[in-house]
Amino acid sequence: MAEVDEAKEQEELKELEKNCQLRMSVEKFDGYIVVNLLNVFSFDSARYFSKKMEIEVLRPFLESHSFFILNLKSMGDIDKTCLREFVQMQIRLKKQNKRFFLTDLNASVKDVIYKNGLDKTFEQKSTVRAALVELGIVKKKAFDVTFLNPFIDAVMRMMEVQCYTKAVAGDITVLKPNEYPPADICGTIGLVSDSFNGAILLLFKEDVYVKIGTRMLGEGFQPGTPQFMDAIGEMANIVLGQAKISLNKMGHNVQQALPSVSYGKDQLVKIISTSPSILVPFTVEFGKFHIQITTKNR
Amino acid sequence: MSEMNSKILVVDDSISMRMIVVSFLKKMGYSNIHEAEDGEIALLMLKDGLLGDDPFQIVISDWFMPNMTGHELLEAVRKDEQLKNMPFLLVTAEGEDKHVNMAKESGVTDIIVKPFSIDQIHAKVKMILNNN
Repeated sequence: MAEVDEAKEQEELKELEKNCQLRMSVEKFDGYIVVNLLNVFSFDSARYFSKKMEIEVLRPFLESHSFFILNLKSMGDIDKTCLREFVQMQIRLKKQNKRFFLTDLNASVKDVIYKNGLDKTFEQKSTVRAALVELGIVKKKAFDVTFLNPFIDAVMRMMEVQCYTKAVAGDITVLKPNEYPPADICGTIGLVSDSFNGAILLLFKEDVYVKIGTRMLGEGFQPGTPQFMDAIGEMANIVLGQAKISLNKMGHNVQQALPSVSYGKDQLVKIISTSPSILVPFTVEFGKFHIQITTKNR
Repeated sequence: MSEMNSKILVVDDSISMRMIVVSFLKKMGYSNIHEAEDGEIALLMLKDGLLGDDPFQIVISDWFMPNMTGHELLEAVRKDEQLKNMPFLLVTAEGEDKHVNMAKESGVTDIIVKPFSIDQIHAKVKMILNNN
């Protein structure tokens, strides 16, 4: 009798699926379930969603699993009336002391959730991985050289948009502990994140910095002026602000401190760290400058 | 009053960022531009404008500043009966959703994320002033 009912349910589910755009796939893991939503979650998909969740997720796994993740990476849009399905899911799981995450929401879905006052209702994470980190199922990512790209992209964008010059990144060098590249002016910002602590430094020789600053702020950009000491801090702020957008999408939760600036001919800016630093050279029409990234995994 | 005579307040603790915004505004044709180094001074200048019957038409403010942040300034402006409808353009290096949402919740009129071009700020300022 039970088999007949199941077959009937599956038939109904297929029928509902035919009449809507939403597609769903369920992945089962130890302790958690990931439900991937594809296409558009329009009004006519609500019944399919609730039926599929009931038959393939809640009924078989509600007792045995603690965490439920709705991965919206491939979902294009959502009708606001369908948010009720998520709310009901949240209520049902909360009553059973289970945790429920929404991950990989695009801007449009986030906007619908925000406009309906539900942004604080759901636990939202940028990726499934970020949700698993939060749950302690996978370890936080350590900083590695692939995370340099957001910094490199941010420097190039900042130079092009705010300083009207094109910067080309060169080959990176790994500095040994206690190895410090000389610079005349340096802007430093401390970083704290879930996976690493550290600092980013912008390092310039004075002649290159004066030419870039003049391009950015006009004539009169010289040592001794307030803008001379200020601009490098603002440049570092902009670079980190841009890089943070990408880094935090990867789940690092980077926070930044206020920038500090040091100036002196051929000074060695010493960052106390037992970890090696990474030095990235950039070439602009006026010469070279560097960024240095020092991190220590937490 | 023509749009080009609009009284504009630029608020940023960074002198270089104020210089950039002011130079962009001048290139766009605006001339009645005033500057404040933090939110506290900005709020006083906004009040002073009202008392002198010469109010500002728009605030262009940074987010993180000492003494009074751009967020605190925005909240103070929105709570003030006489200033609550003041257009408030936020210029920030913080482009993440959580910061953008926080600014929206506090009633910001629009947001520009650094780095920004003259075209970006021109479009936003023009639209805000024309709407008001």
